[in-house]
Amino acid sequence: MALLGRSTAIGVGLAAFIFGALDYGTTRGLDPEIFDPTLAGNLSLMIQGLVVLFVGADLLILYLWNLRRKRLASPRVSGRGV
Amino acid sequence: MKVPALTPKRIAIVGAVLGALAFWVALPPIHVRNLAVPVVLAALAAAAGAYAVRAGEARLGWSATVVGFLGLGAGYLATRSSVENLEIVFTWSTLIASMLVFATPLMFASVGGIFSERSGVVNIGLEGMMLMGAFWGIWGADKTGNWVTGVLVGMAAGGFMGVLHAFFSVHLRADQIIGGTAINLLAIGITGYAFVQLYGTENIPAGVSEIPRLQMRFLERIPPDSLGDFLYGAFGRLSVMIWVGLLFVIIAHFLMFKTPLGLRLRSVGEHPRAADTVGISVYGMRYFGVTLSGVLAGAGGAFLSVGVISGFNENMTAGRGFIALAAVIAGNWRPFGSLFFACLFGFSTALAFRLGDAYRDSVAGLDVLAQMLPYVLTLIIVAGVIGKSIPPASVGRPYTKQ
Repeated sequence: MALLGRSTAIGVGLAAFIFGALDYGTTRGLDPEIFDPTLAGNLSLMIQGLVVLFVGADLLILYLWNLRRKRLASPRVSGRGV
Repeated sequence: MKVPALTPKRIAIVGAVLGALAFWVALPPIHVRNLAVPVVLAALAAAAGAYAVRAGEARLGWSATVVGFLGLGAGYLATRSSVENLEIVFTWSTLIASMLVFATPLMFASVGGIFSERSGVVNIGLEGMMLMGAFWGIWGADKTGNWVTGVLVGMAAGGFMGVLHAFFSVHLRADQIIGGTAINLLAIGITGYAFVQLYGTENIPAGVSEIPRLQMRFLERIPPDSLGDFLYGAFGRLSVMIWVGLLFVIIAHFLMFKTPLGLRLRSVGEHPRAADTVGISVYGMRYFGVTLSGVLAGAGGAFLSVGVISGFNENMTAGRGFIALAAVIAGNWRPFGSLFFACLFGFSTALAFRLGDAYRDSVAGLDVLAQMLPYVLTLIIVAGVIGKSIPPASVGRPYTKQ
């Protein structure tokens, strides 16, 4: 959680808010016939795991971001659409 | 004959043994019913401990004193308890057999943890890898009808988590503690989701192929009779996986300390730059270590689900991955050291179960209280009864190629 908020108080609050929303939203008020609450609860755990995983890996995000910037800057070298 | 010199260290060790003896004499098969014997033994233990502390052997001396007092308390309880109950709890052969059953998942996982940590990657994700192994192992055994493929599927699932952890912590240089935590969360989510999706509300159907036991009748015929019975009860009917686990500990020891591969793995964990300069692939070795740890943890989890309870519950590993990690650290990153601690945790778990069974009627709540025993033991051990343990020098630090 502290990592997700980048060790700032406001960031931590926001991060906790996201996880809290995920937890609360998947345990109450779901129609069991449309989406089984036990499935939804486990799904939100999976999402939390992935979020933590990708937040930890800032290098990957920076790499993807740079790729995107390069493509936007020079569309001809992008390889797609000549 | 030369008498060994009475150094403070030796005295402290003798004190600790006396403390343990204070408890042991009150148990079957000796059954001392007189309280005086444990008291005298415990007092001797405490005195030896105090002497050792004064002579400068602080850590061992205090340990001996503590063991003395624990022995006194446990011995007192044992002399007050009825003989029948003691016989139920302390049937040594069954106790040892179930100790090995509880120790085996820890054995696999902690050997895996050693491979990962020796290569320089902290593996908090052992818990999640075990859980994946547990679910996909029983799934494989259920679908293919064969426990071997089940365990292999579980190992593959654990290995997949291992590769994931390796990718994030080696190539992406993410924080390893956070990566491991993410692995744990992810594993709980994936196994829980798949369990509900694949099996719905009912549990794994009964009659899943079980891991066979290795029958060793010849142990029974070892003279004298009581020894033969004891050996057969303790070792004669163990699951095949337990023997495989013990074999893995030995293999891991040789691989780690006697082969070039092990030397490379350790050098990558101690000083990656130096290892890189002499041409060892740091990334390759770390991938190998972490993936192997995932595979082994998966095997441990699969043993838990296929071999022990023939079923699956959500989050059934219940912190065993963390206990395995504690065994790695307490065992000083050595396979045999962690085997010892895995057996200690296994023993306390087995003891907790039997205590709960025997005293369910007489002492209210003891069965629940006893479940805490392994965790308390973890706490005591990690808090420093054991000497200082030295981790691999660069464990937890990502390596950047130059």
